[in-house]
Amino acid sequence: MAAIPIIRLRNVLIVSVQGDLTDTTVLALKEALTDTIERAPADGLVIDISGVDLVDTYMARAFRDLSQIVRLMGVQTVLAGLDPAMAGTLVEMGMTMEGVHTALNLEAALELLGLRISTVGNVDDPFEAQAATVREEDELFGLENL
Amino acid sequence: MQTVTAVDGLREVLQRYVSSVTARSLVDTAIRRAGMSHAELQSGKVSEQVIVQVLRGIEVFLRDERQREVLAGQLRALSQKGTGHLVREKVVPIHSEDSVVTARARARDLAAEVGFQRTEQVKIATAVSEVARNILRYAGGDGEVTVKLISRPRNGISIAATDRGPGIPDINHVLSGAYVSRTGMGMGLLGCRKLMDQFHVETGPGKGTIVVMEKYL
Repeated sequence: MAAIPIIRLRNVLIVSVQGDLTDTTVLALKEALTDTIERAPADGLVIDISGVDLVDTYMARAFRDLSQIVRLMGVQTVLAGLDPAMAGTLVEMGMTMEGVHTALNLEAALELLGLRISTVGNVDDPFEAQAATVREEDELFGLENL
Repeated sequence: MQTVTAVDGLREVLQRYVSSVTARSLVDTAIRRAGMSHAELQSGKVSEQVIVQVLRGIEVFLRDERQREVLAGQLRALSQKGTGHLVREKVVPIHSEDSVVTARARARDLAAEVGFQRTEQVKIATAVSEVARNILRYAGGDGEVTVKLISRPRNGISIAATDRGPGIPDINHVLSGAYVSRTGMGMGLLGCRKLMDQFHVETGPGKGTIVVMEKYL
């Protein structure tokens, strides 16, 4: 498997894991992440695993270790996109992933880290999109009743 | 690999749900009602008329509608793809990280085919992933995972992970839960035992390791 790219969105790092995590990939990811954080600090890390076919105890442990390492560097990890069947399986195996924050999907993970992506109604319609953004900003500032 | 005739294929699929005697009589009745002969079916594929008759006949034995739908899907697959895919056993040699992925994908396919629900498929595939990884990490990739369909003691799936590695010196200690290695082997094996209905390990220093697990429908 090729190296996993690390995406920076403001103060949050995002990695998306696809398929399987191998020893080699985990090692490379660990190095790349710590390097990235050392060069320019980040507040949060989202590991998106919605593209993973399954999470066994090996992968779960890898994610947990990764989150503990970056926490020592001041970065909060959120694991996003764990499928319900996989979540149930992990718990049944006694792998509870203590200390790792989780979110339903990437968007929820970013929100958890304080990064709000403005939701727009209809992206195909620029006018509606703009109106939706304005409405949302109004709500945000408590102006909707003015 | 032995070839499976259409009649055998039908019996095989039905035996996942009813006893072999019932399966045999259901197939015979269905062939007769469809106005066909065994000989015609022996050489050819399963026809739609026969499938309809089988589904009619099994209603009495298989009360669960969802199970009947799964069965119908399996029978249609039989008529479209022939009996070639009705392989009861799949052996995946574990020598690389890719083969771990292959092993769990095969297990999942087979589990889906016999009618395990998605949650159960994930459990089975996860257990396979654990034992396959153990072969890779502790036995230097000298082993294989065999996934097969079983009908005794109940319908289900059986997984055997065999390796020619160093063996586990004190397996009882590992399975007691008191020991978890730095890399987490104990956790993986204990996890498998919790996920599956049957779990058995044969191992010892210098003897290699065999893990056999079963999960029933």
